[in-house]
Amino acid sequence: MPDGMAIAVRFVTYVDLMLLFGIAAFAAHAVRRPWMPVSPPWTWMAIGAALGLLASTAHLMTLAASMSGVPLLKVDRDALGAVLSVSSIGLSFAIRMVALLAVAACGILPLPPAYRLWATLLASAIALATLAGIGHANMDSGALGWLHLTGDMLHLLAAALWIGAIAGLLGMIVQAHRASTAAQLDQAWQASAGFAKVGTIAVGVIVATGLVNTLAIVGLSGIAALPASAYGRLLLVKLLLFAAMLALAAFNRFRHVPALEEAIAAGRPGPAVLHLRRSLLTEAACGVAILLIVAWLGMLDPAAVQ
Amino acid sequence: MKWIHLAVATTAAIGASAVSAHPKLLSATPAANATVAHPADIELHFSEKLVPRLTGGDLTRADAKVASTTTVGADGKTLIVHPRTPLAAGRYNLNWHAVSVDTHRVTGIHTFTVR
Repeated sequence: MPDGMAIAVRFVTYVDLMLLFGIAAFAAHAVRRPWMPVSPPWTWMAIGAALGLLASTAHLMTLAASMSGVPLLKVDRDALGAVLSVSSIGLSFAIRMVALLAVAACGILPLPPAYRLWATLLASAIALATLAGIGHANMDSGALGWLHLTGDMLHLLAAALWIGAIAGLLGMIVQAHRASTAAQLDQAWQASAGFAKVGTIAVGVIVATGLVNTLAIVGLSGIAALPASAYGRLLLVKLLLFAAMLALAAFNRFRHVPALEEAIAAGRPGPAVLHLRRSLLTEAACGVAILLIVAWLGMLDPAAVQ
Repeated sequence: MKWIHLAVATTAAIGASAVSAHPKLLSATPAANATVAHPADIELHFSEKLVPRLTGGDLTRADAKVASTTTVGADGKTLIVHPRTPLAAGRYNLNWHAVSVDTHRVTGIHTFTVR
Protein backbone atom coordinates (compact mmCIF):
# COMPACT_ATOMS: atom_id res chain seq x y z
CA MET A 1 0.00 0.00 0.00
CA PRO A 2 1.66 3.25 -1.09
CA ASP A 3 1.58 5.91 1.60
CA GLY A 4 -0.97 8.70 1.57
CA MET A 5 1.58 11.44 2.08
CA ALA A 6 3.42 10.64 -1.14
CA ILE A 7 0.13 10.47 -3.06
CA ALA A 8 -1.02 13.81 -1.61
CA VAL A 9 2.26 15.50 -2.54
CA ARG A 10 2.10 14.13 -6.09
CA PHE A 11 -1.53 15.25 -6.36
CA VAL A 12 -0.79 18.83 -5.27
CA THR A 13 2.19 18.98 -7.65
CA TYR A 14 0.10 17.76 -10.60
CA VAL A 15 -2.84 20.10 -9.93
CA ASP A 16 -0.56 23.08 -9.40
CA LEU A 17 1.62 22.61 -12.49
CA MET A 18 -1.39 21.77 -14.68
CA LEU A 19 -3.25 24.91 -13.60
CA LEU A 20 -0.19 27.13 -14.15
CA PHE A 21 0.21 26.02 -17.77
CA GLY A 22 -3.52 25.50 -18.39
CA ILE A 23 -4.51 28.98 -17.24
CA ALA A 24 -1.64 30.66 -19.12
CA ALA A 25 -2.69 28.71 -22.23
CA PHE A 26 -6.33 29.66 -21.69
CA ALA A 27 -5.35 33.33 -21.52
CA ALA A 28 -3.47 32.90 -24.79
CA HIS A 29 -6.20 31.14 -26.75
CA ALA A 30 -9.48 32.16 -25.12
CA VAL A 31 -10.37 35.55 -26.46
CA ARG A 32 -9.23 37.05 -29.70
CA ARG A 33 -9.66 40.44 -31.25
CA PRO A 34 -11.84 42.44 -31.38
CA TRP A 35 -12.51 41.32 -27.83
CA MET A 36 -10.10 42.16 -25.07
CA PRO A 37 -7.37 39.57 -24.45
CA VAL A 38 -7.72 37.71 -21.18
CA SER A 39 -4.92 38.34 -18.75
CA PRO A 40 -3.94 35.55 -16.34
CA PRO A 41 -4.31 36.46 -12.65
CA TRP A 42 -0.63 37.35 -12.29
CA THR A 43 -0.48 37.41 -8.50
CA TRP A 44 -2.07 33.96 -8.37
CA MET A 45 0.36 32.71 -11.01
CA ALA A 46 3.27 33.83 -8.80
CA ILE A 47 1.68 32.19 -5.74
CA GLY A 48 1.04 29.03 -7.78
CA ALA A 49 4.68 28.97 -8.89
CA ALA A 50 5.80 29.32 -5.26
CA LEU A 51 3.46 26.50 -4.26
CA GLY A 52 4.87 24.45 -7.14
CA LEU A 53 8.41 24.97 -5.79
CA LEU A 54 7.30 23.85 -2.31
CA ALA A 55 5.34 20.86 -3.60
CA SER A 56 8.24 19.80 -5.84
CA THR A 57 10.63 19.92 -2.88
CA ALA A 58 8.20 17.79 -0.87
CA HIS A 59 7.88 15.47 -3.90
CA LEU A 60 11.66 15.05 -3.95
CA MET A 61 11.68 14.28 -0.21
CA THR A 62 8.94 11.62 -0.46
CA LEU A 63 10.71 10.14 -3.47
CA ALA A 64 13.98 9.95 -1.54
CA ALA A 65 12.14 8.30 1.37
CA SER A 66 10.45 5.62 -0.74
CA MET A 67 13.49 4.94 -2.93
CA SER A 68 15.93 4.58 -0.04
CA GLY A 69 13.40 2.72 2.09
CA VAL A 70 13.46 5.06 5.10
CA PRO A 71 10.71 7.13 6.80
CA LEU A 72 10.19 10.66 5.49
CA LEU A 73 11.83 12.28 8.55
CA LYS A 74 14.95 10.13 8.18
CA VAL A 75 15.76 11.41 4.69
CA ASP A 76 19.29 12.83 4.75
CA ARG A 77 21.67 14.39 2.24
CA ASP A 78 22.95 10.97 1.23
CA ALA A 79 19.49 9.77 0.30
CA LEU A 80 18.72 12.99 -1.59
CA GLY A 81 22.05 12.80 -3.38
CA ALA A 82 21.41 9.19 -4.37
CA VAL A 83 17.98 10.02 -5.80
CA LEU A 84 19.30 13.05 -7.69
CA SER A 85 22.13 10.88 -9.06
CA VAL A 86 19.57 9.29 -11.37
CA SER A 87 20.15 11.57 -14.34
CA SER A 88 16.49 11.73 -15.45
CA ILE A 89 15.34 12.67 -11.93
CA GLY A 90 18.11 15.18 -11.19
CA LEU A 91 17.62 16.89 -14.55
CA SER A 92 13.82 16.94 -14.22
CA PHE A 93 13.92 18.60 -10.80
CA ALA A 94 16.60 21.11 -11.81
CA ILE A 95 14.73 22.17 -14.95
CA ARG A 96 11.42 22.32 -13.07
CA MET A 97 12.83 24.56 -10.33
CA VAL A 98 14.31 27.01 -12.86
CA ALA A 99 11.09 27.02 -14.92
CA LEU A 100 8.94 27.66 -11.83
CA LEU A 101 11.23 30.52 -10.76
CA ALA A 102 10.72 31.99 -14.24
CA VAL A 103 6.91 31.67 -13.88
CA ALA A 104 7.10 33.39 -10.48
CA ALA A 105 9.28 36.18 -11.93
CA CYS A 106 6.78 36.71 -14.78
CA GLY A 107 3.98 36.90 -12.22
CA ILE A 108 5.77 39.58 -10.17
CA LEU A 109 7.69 41.68 -12.71
CA PRO A 110 5.68 44.16 -14.82
CA LEU A 111 7.00 42.97 -18.19
CA PRO A 112 5.35 44.03 -21.48
CA PRO A 113 2.05 42.05 -21.58
CA ALA A 114 2.79 39.97 -24.70
CA TYR A 115 6.27 38.88 -23.55
CA ARG A 116 4.95 38.24 -20.09
CA LEU A 117 2.27 35.85 -21.34
CA TRP A 118 4.49 33.99 -23.81
CA ALA A 119 7.35 33.65 -21.32
CA THR A 120 4.90 32.32 -18.70
CA LEU A 121 3.40 29.92 -21.23
CA LEU A 122 6.81 28.53 -22.21
CA ALA A 123 8.14 28.27 -18.64
CA SER A 124 4.97 26.64 -17.26
CA ALA A 125 4.91 24.16 -20.18
CA ILE A 126 8.50 23.16 -19.42
CA ALA A 127 7.74 22.82 -15.69
CA LEU A 128 4.74 20.58 -16.42
CA ALA A 129 6.62 18.44 -18.95
CA THR A 130 9.31 17.62 -16.36
CA LEU A 131 6.71 15.55 -14.50
CA ALA A 132 7.17 12.95 -17.24
CA GLY A 133 10.87 12.75 -16.41
CA ILE A 134 10.13 10.99 -13.13
CA GLY A 135 8.40 7.62 -12.95
CA HIS A 136 6.91 5.09 -15.31
CA ALA A 137 7.76 7.00 -18.48
CA ASN A 138 11.44 6.26 -17.76
CA MET A 139 11.20 2.50 -17.58
CA ASP A 140 12.06 1.77 -21.21
CA SER A 141 15.25 2.44 -23.05
CA GLY A 142 16.00 3.37 -26.66
CA ALA A 143 13.39 4.50 -29.20
CA LEU A 144 10.49 3.13 -27.17
CA GLY A 145 11.74 5.12 -24.17
CA TRP A 146 11.73 8.37 -26.14
CA LEU A 147 8.29 7.61 -27.60
CA HIS A 148 6.93 6.90 -24.12
CA LEU A 149 8.55 10.03 -22.64
CA THR A 150 7.34 12.32 -25.45
CA GLY A 151 3.89 10.75 -25.31
CA ASP A 152 3.71 11.33 -21.57
CA MET A 153 4.75 14.99 -21.94
CA LEU A 154 2.17 15.64 -24.67
CA HIS A 155 -0.46 13.85 -22.56
CA LEU A 156 0.28 16.17 -19.61
CA LEU A 157 0.23 19.33 -21.76
CA ALA A 158 -3.03 18.41 -23.53
CA ALA A 159 -4.72 17.48 -20.25
CA ALA A 160 -3.59 20.78 -18.72
CA LEU A 161 -4.97 22.63 -21.75
CA TRP A 162 -8.38 21.13 -20.97
CA ILE A 163 -8.27 21.53 -17.19
CA GLY A 164 -6.95 25.10 -17.45
CA ALA A 165 -9.76 25.99 -19.85
CA ILE A 166 -12.37 24.62 -17.43
CA ALA A 167 -10.84 26.74 -14.64
CA GLY A 168 -10.62 29.80 -16.87
CA LEU A 169 -14.17 29.45 -18.21
CA LEU A 170 -15.50 28.91 -14.70
CA GLY A 171 -13.71 32.09 -13.59
CA MET A 172 -15.20 34.08 -16.46
CA ILE A 173 -18.70 32.66 -15.95
CA VAL A 174 -18.66 33.37 -12.22
CA GLN A 175 -17.43 36.93 -12.80
CA ALA A 176 -19.98 37.54 -15.55
CA HIS A 177 -22.75 36.13 -13.38
CA ARG A 178 -21.77 38.40 -10.51
CA ALA A 179 -21.34 41.56 -12.59
CA SER A 180 -24.01 40.67 -15.14
CA THR A 181 -22.76 43.22 -17.63
CA ALA A 182 -23.53 42.53 -21.28
CA ALA A 183 -19.87 42.84 -22.27
CA GLN A 184 -18.65 40.30 -19.71
CA LEU A 185 -21.44 37.85 -20.55
CA ASP A 186 -20.61 38.17 -24.21
CA GLN A 187 -16.94 37.59 -23.49
CA ALA A 188 -17.71 34.50 -21.37
CA TRP A 189 -19.93 33.10 -24.11
CA GLN A 190 -17.33 33.88 -26.78
CA ALA A 191 -14.61 32.10 -24.77
CA SER A 192 -16.85 29.07 -24.19
CA ALA A 193 -17.73 28.82 -27.88
CA GLY A 194 -14.11 29.45 -28.85
CA PHE A 195 -12.85 26.55 -26.75
CA ALA A 196 -14.52 24.00 -29.07
CA LYS A 197 -11.59 23.84 -31.50
CA VAL A 198 -8.79 23.83 -28.90
CA GLY A 199 -10.76 21.33 -26.81
CA THR A 200 -11.16 18.92 -29.72
CA ILE A 201 -7.43 19.02 -30.45
CA ALA A 202 -6.63 18.49 -26.75
CA VAL A 203 -8.97 15.48 -26.51
CA GLY A 204 -7.46 13.97 -29.67
CA VAL A 205 -3.93 14.30 -28.27
CA ILE A 206 -5.02 12.92 -24.86
CA VAL A 207 -6.60 9.81 -26.41
CA ALA A 208 -3.70 9.09 -28.80
CA THR A 209 -0.91 9.59 -26.24
CA GLY A 210 -2.91 7.82 -23.52
CA LEU A 211 -3.15 4.78 -25.79
CA VAL A 212 0.60 4.79 -26.54
CA ASN A 213 1.51 5.21 -22.85
CA THR A 214 -0.84 2.47 -21.68
CA LEU A 215 0.52 0.07 -24.30
CA ALA A 216 4.07 0.97 -23.31
CA ILE A 217 3.36 0.25 -19.63
CA VAL A 218 1.05 -2.77 -19.64
CA GLY A 219 1.45 -4.01 -23.22
CA LEU A 220 -1.13 -5.35 -25.63
CA SER A 221 -1.44 -8.55 -23.63
CA GLY A 222 -1.86 -6.59 -20.41
CA ILE A 223 -5.04 -4.82 -21.57
CA ALA A 224 -7.25 -7.86 -20.97
CA ALA A 225 -5.67 -8.38 -17.55
CA LEU A 226 -6.39 -4.81 -16.38
CA PRO A 227 -9.34 -5.70 -14.10
CA ALA A 228 -7.10 -8.16 -12.23
CA SER A 229 -4.73 -5.56 -10.76
CA ALA A 230 -5.28 -2.52 -8.55
CA TYR A 231 -3.41 -0.53 -11.19
CA GLY A 232 -5.75 -1.75 -13.93
CA ARG A 233 -8.92 -1.11 -11.95
CA LEU A 234 -7.83 2.44 -11.12
CA LEU A 235 -6.94 2.99 -14.77
CA LEU A 236 -10.43 1.82 -15.79
CA VAL A 237 -12.04 4.23 -13.28
CA LYS A 238 -9.87 6.99 -14.75
CA LEU A 239 -11.13 6.12 -18.24
CA LEU A 240 -14.76 6.21 -17.04
CA LEU A 241 -14.18 9.66 -15.52
CA PHE A 242 -12.57 10.76 -18.77
CA ALA A 243 -15.64 9.55 -20.68
CA ALA A 244 -17.86 11.50 -18.27
CA MET A 245 -15.79 14.66 -18.88
CA LEU A 246 -16.08 14.12 -22.61
CA ALA A 247 -19.87 13.75 -22.37
CA LEU A 248 -20.13 16.91 -20.25
CA ALA A 249 -17.93 18.82 -22.69
CA ALA A 250 -20.07 17.69 -25.62
CA PHE A 251 -23.19 18.70 -23.69
CA ASN A 252 -21.70 22.15 -23.05
CA ARG A 253 -20.71 22.60 -26.65
CA PHE A 254 -23.96 21.53 -28.28
CA ARG A 255 -26.47 22.45 -25.60
CA HIS A 256 -25.41 24.88 -22.87
CA VAL A 257 -23.25 27.25 -24.93
CA PRO A 258 -25.82 27.71 -27.77
CA ALA A 259 -28.51 28.12 -25.08
CA LEU A 260 -26.41 30.86 -23.47
CA GLU A 261 -26.12 32.66 -26.80
CA GLU A 262 -29.91 32.59 -27.23
CA ALA A 263 -30.47 33.64 -23.63
CA ILE A 264 -28.08 36.60 -24.00
CA ALA A 265 -29.91 37.65 -27.17
CA ALA A 266 -33.24 37.33 -25.35
CA GLY A 267 -31.92 39.43 -22.47
CA ARG A 268 -32.46 36.74 -19.78
CA PRO A 269 -29.11 35.00 -19.40
CA GLY A 270 -29.50 34.00 -15.72
CA PRO A 271 -30.63 30.33 -15.94
CA ALA A 272 -28.41 29.55 -18.93
CA VAL A 273 -25.36 30.88 -17.07
CA LEU A 274 -26.21 28.73 -14.05
CA HIS A 275 -26.61 25.59 -16.21
CA LEU A 276 -23.24 26.14 -17.84
CA ARG A 277 -21.64 26.84 -14.46
CA ARG A 278 -23.02 23.66 -12.92
CA SER A 279 -21.89 21.60 -15.90
CA LEU A 280 -18.39 23.11 -15.77
CA LEU A 281 -18.16 22.46 -12.02
CA THR A 282 -19.06 18.79 -12.55
CA GLU A 283 -16.47 18.56 -15.33
CA ALA A 284 -13.87 20.15 -13.02
CA ALA A 285 -14.72 17.66 -10.24
CA CYS A 286 -14.14 14.75 -12.66
CA GLY A 287 -10.82 16.34 -13.67
CA VAL A 288 -9.69 16.64 -10.04
CA ALA A 289 -10.68 13.00 -9.41
CA ILE A 290 -8.62 11.94 -12.44
CA LEU A 291 -5.56 13.78 -11.12
CA LEU A 292 -5.98 12.08 -7.75
CA ILE A 293 -6.01 8.71 -9.52
CA VAL A 294 -2.94 9.71 -11.55
CA ALA A 295 -1.10 10.60 -8.33
CA TRP A 296 -1.97 7.14 -7.00
CA LEU A 297 -1.31 5.16 -10.21
CA GLY A 298 2.30 6.34 -10.42
CA MET A 299 3.02 4.60 -7.11
CA LEU A 300 1.57 1.21 -8.08
CA ASP A 301 3.14 -1.70 -9.89
CA PRO A 302 1.21 -2.09 -13.16
CA ALA A 303 2.02 -5.79 -13.26
CA ALA A 304 1.06 -6.72 -9.69
CA VAL A 305 -2.11 -8.79 -9.54
CA GLN A 306 -4.01 -8.05 -6.34
CA MET B 1 -2.91 4.79 -46.15
CA LYS B 2 0.73 4.47 -45.18
CA TRP B 3 0.11 6.01 -41.78
CA ILE B 4 -2.17 3.11 -40.86
CA HIS B 5 0.69 0.68 -41.48
CA LEU B 6 2.95 2.88 -39.40
CA ALA B 7 0.38 3.01 -36.59
CA VAL B 8 -0.10 -0.75 -36.65
CA ALA B 9 3.64 -1.39 -36.69
CA THR B 10 4.20 1.04 -33.81
CA THR B 11 1.41 -0.50 -31.78
CA ALA B 12 2.77 -4.00 -32.38
CA ALA B 13 6.30 -2.91 -31.46
CA ILE B 14 5.12 -1.33 -28.21
CA GLY B 15 2.86 -4.23 -27.36
CA ALA B 16 5.60 -6.78 -27.94
CA SER B 17 8.32 -5.08 -25.94
CA ALA B 18 6.29 -3.79 -23.00
CA VAL B 19 7.77 -4.61 -19.65
CA SER B 20 6.59 -4.26 -16.10
CA ALA B 21 7.22 -0.82 -14.65
CA HIS B 22 8.76 -2.21 -11.45
CA PRO B 23 12.09 -4.00 -11.39
CA LYS B 24 11.64 -7.78 -11.36
CA LEU B 25 14.18 -10.38 -10.36
CA LEU B 26 14.53 -12.41 -13.56
CA SER B 27 17.26 -14.87 -12.64
CA ALA B 28 20.16 -15.37 -10.28
CA THR B 29 23.44 -17.27 -9.93
CA PRO B 30 23.46 -19.28 -7.79
CA ALA B 31 19.79 -19.93 -8.53
CA ALA B 32 17.24 -19.66 -5.74
CA ASN B 33 17.51 -22.55 -3.24
CA ALA B 34 20.32 -24.15 -5.28
CA THR B 35 23.26 -25.97 -3.73
CA VAL B 36 26.56 -24.94 -5.31
CA ALA B 37 30.28 -25.26 -4.76
CA HIS B 38 32.07 -22.04 -3.72
CA PRO B 39 30.55 -19.27 -5.87
CA ALA B 40 32.90 -16.30 -6.32
CA ASP B 41 30.04 -13.82 -6.75
CA ILE B 42 26.30 -13.82 -6.35
CA GLU B 43 24.55 -12.17 -9.29
CA LEU B 44 20.92 -11.09 -9.43
CA HIS B 45 19.56 -10.14 -12.86
CA PHE B 46 16.70 -7.62 -12.96
CA SER B 47 14.29 -6.51 -15.67
CA GLU B 48 15.17 -2.83 -15.45
CA LYS B 49 18.03 -0.38 -15.06
CA LEU B 50 18.95 0.03 -11.41
CA VAL B 51 20.13 3.02 -9.38
CA PRO B 52 23.58 1.84 -8.14
CA ARG B 53 23.62 4.04 -5.03
CA LEU B 54 20.28 2.70 -3.83
CA THR B 55 20.70 -0.94 -4.75
CA GLY B 56 22.45 -3.49 -2.57
CA GLY B 57 22.07 -6.35 -0.17
CA ASP B 58 23.21 -7.99 3.06
CA LEU B 59 24.55 -11.52 2.92
CA THR B 60 24.02 -13.60 6.07
CA ARG B 61 24.82 -17.15 7.16
CA ALA B 62 23.07 -18.47 10.24
CA ASP B 63 22.00 -14.90 11.07
CA ALA B 64 25.62 -13.70 11.07
CA LYS B 65 26.57 -11.03 8.57
CA VAL B 66 29.07 -12.05 5.90
CA ALA B 67 31.44 -9.23 4.85
CA SER B 68 30.76 -8.42 1.22
CA THR B 69 30.68 -5.58 -1.30
CA THR B 70 27.86 -4.88 -3.73
CA THR B 71 28.04 -3.32 -7.16
CA VAL B 72 25.77 -2.96 -10.17
CA GLY B 73 27.08 -4.65 -13.30
CA ALA B 74 28.02 -2.95 -16.55
CA ASP B 75 24.60 -3.70 -18.05
CA GLY B 76 23.02 -1.60 -15.29
CA LYS B 77 20.54 -4.36 -14.50
CA THR B 78 22.64 -6.80 -12.47
CA LEU B 79 23.29 -6.65 -8.74
CA ILE B 80 26.65 -8.29 -7.99
CA VAL B 81 27.50 -9.28 -4.42
CA HIS B 82 31.17 -10.06 -3.87
CA PRO B 83 32.10 -11.77 -0.56
CA ARG B 84 35.37 -10.47 0.93
CA THR B 85 36.53 -14.04 1.69
CA PRO B 86 35.53 -17.32 -0.02
CA LEU B 87 32.19 -18.60 1.25
CA ALA B 88 32.30 -21.49 3.72
CA ALA B 89 29.83 -24.34 3.49
CA GLY B 90 26.36 -23.50 4.76
CA ARG B 91 23.04 -21.93 3.97
CA TYR B 92 23.07 -18.24 2.93
CA ASN B 93 20.42 -15.55 2.79
CA LEU B 94 20.89 -12.50 0.60
CA ASN B 95 18.55 -9.75 1.81
CA TRP B 96 18.51 -7.54 -1.29
CA HIS B 97 16.91 -4.24 -2.25
CA ALA B 98 16.78 -2.79 -5.73
CA VAL B 99 15.58 0.60 -6.97
CA SER B 100 14.89 1.13 -10.66
CA VAL B 101 15.41 4.43 -12.46
CA ASP B 102 11.61 4.75 -12.69
CA THR B 103 11.72 5.33 -8.90
CA HIS B 104 10.34 2.04 -7.54
CA ARG B 105 11.94 0.08 -4.72
CA VAL B 106 11.59 -3.70 -4.46
CA THR B 107 13.10 -6.00 -1.87
CA GLY B 108 13.50 -9.74 -1.44
CA ILE B 109 15.42 -12.58 0.12
CA HIS B 110 17.49 -14.87 -2.08
CA THR B 111 18.52 -18.16 -0.48
CA PHE B 112 21.19 -20.67 -1.58
CA THR B 113 23.48 -23.25 -0.05
CA VAL B 114 27.24 -23.70 -0.40
CA ARG B 115 28.41 -27.29 0.03
